[in-house]
Amino acid sequence: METCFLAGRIPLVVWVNCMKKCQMLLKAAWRKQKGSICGIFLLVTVLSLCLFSSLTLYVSGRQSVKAEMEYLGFGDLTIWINGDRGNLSGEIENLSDVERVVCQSLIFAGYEINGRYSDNEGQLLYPDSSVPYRFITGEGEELSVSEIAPGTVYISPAMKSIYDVETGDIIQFELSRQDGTYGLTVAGYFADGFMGSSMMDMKSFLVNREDYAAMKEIVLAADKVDALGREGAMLHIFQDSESDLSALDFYKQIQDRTDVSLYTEFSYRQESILSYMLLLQNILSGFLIAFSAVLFLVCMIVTGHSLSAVVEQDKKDMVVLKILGMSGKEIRKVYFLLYGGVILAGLFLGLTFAGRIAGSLAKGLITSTGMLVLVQRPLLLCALLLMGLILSFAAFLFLRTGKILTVAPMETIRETAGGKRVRTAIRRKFLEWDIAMRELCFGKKNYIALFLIAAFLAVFLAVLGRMGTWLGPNGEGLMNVFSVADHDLGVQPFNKEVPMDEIERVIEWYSPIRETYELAMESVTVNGQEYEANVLNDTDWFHILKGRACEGNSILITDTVASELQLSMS
Amino acid sequence: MKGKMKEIIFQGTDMIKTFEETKVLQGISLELYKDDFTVIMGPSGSGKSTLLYAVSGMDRLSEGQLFYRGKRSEMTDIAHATEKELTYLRAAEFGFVFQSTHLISSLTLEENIRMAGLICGSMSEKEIRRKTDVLIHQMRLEKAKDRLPAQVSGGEAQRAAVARAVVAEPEILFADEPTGALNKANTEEVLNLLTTLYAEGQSILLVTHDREAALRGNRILYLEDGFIVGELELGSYLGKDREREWKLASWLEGFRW
Repeated sequence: METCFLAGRIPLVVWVNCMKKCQMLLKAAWRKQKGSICGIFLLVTVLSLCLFSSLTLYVSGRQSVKAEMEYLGFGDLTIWINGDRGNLSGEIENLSDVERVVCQSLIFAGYEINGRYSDNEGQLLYPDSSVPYRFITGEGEELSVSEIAPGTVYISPAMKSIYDVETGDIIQFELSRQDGTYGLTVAGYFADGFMGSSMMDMKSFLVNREDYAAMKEIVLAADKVDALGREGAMLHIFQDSESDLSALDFYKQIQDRTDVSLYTEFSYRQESILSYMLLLQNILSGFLIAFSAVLFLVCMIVTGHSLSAVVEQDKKDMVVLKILGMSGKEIRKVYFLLYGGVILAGLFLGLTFAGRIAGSLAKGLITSTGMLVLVQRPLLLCALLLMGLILSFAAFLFLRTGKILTVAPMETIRETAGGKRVRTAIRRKFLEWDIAMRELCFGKKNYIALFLIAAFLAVFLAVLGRMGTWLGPNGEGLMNVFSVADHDLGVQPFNKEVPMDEIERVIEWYSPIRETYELAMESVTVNGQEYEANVLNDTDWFHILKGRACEGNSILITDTVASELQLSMS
Repeated sequence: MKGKMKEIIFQGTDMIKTFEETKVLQGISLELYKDDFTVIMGPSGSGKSTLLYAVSGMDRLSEGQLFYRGKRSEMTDIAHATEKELTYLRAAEFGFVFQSTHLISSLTLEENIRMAGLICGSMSEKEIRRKTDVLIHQMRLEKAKDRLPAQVSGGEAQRAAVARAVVAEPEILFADEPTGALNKANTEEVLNLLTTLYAEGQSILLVTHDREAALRGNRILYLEDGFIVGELELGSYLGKDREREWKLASWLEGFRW
């Protein structure tokens, strides 16, 4: 541009000439470097897809679960109670810090699906206007169901991955020992804002009101010894907006001033429910974000190397341009525009399709999350991140193209006049090999750049391929990776009478035993809240996030419990 | 000699160029005139190319002064010019032809020529296209114009290089052994082109050790060990002339050429 203005001509002519010049040089550079440019474009597109889809999934997941919980009427605190609750809702509602309480009746019952018995009880509910459940297909599409047909049940899609259950299968609910099973046919799926996730053992079942009444009758008719099912309720408690009590104090107050602790099965704050529900999505998003960070570095390395190779390879052409009167800055601008344009195109292409990828991921995860994540791109966050990426790449390109300014015409002319020394011999016997080696030596930087691009793309595709295996069918693999019990089979004796030596011998016949440890499952109550304590002699088995394995008078707790009880180390 | 009063475009005084310990130009004082076809001759290593690159501002002088008065009729101190000033001069006032064609490998011959016009910045796109077409016709490059440099003969590539050097209508054309890598036929063709350009008013500074090429110039300088040791006025080239050939040969004989 400077040269044009010095000539003192009309700016429009200058501008047109500059554009034409730029266009011609970009075309020329494309002719020469399309291989590496396409590679960089692919890498950046993959980076953008990965990053923006994970971000979309993370934010949409959080928003969807929150919205679903609000939609279903979950309060700041939800308490599951059993038995005769009397006027418990009224008692709680009378507290000054409580805004309102919504009571949702339910039946706790064990169940059997396709010959498999549940480890935990399920909760049977019937939908009414106060809790408007949303129905979905197993593939993640919304479904319109006006009324649940008698004899049918709607379940969480997560049960597909846990019990391999399909529509048409029959679930037998165990209500009492004396002919007290009640069979219902699976008619479809519903979005469960809390127990939907496959990370929850307890599952909700939506049944017809008449079926619910019939089941309740069976439960009430059975005497205490016979009864397998129990009547219960969920109390959705909403804290008053003017209340300044912490979640723990709010819960303590409810416990102290009402009889709720007499009936409480368990309770969860909204945040805890959210963290349970989002566990799998957060793991996947975290994995994708970490992968994106690596990919970002890879893009930088590949682009940097490719630019170095190009500067080396096109040095002669750059010198010619300088001799013709182009400034180093202008030449740099051309390369900056070429690579910047390609990177920008990749980023925008990735961003465009990130929503669809996030949607597909959300649909793919439906059997793990148990609910449909409504994908909505976080526009502001995406814009900020995009801006950050563009600035980082721009700064990087600016630095890497700085070499162009140092290309000196005279040095290159002298180099060309003298020619490069050839160090590799051409032998008749190994003619093809020697020619190939010479070509490799002359264009080594270019070949290294191509090698890097190919290698990183191959690694990415391999990781993508492995991810399918790693996630496993219906996300089971993902669950197993983050599960403490990452074994195929765990055997636990009922009592001391069980001949464990004999059992171990039988097991060893088929497969080696990886670990043996003593375990006692204890139920403990803290502030009226029931927790399950894994009492075992080897706490090294757990993935310890912070601190150390148990020693003497110490325990390990999960971060959820720590947040629930506001506990910190020591 | 074309005019009565010669207009000086370059004036160099005590020009010295040193590479490490070696003094290649040893204090040369020189004047170059507008509309002249100046030829620098001399044995290998005498400093011919070094002088050309120093005068054209491609290389910096180690010592001495060098002034240029071109299209803008203001003096530029080439020896101390900024990179910006030199860039402008290369774009708008100087043209270059080398022994090696130095064409941009990924541009066609036509694009190579047009590129120089675009870089100079003083012509409209339309003018550049028209000038390029004229030069392509003049250099007989119609068939080769859409090919890449690697796909054409050495002669075609060098003719394209000459066309590229003059498309922006430079004040002076610097040519460093432009026929050094060509066969006889192509050499003749390129020399004819330079002669035509000179006849049309183009100032040329040519470095050569080819007697045939030197015959095309009107002023011959002889360089030896970094000094100008001789100067010959030949007058304009008007075609094969035995007397002109004899004059040059006998002059060169004085330098044991």
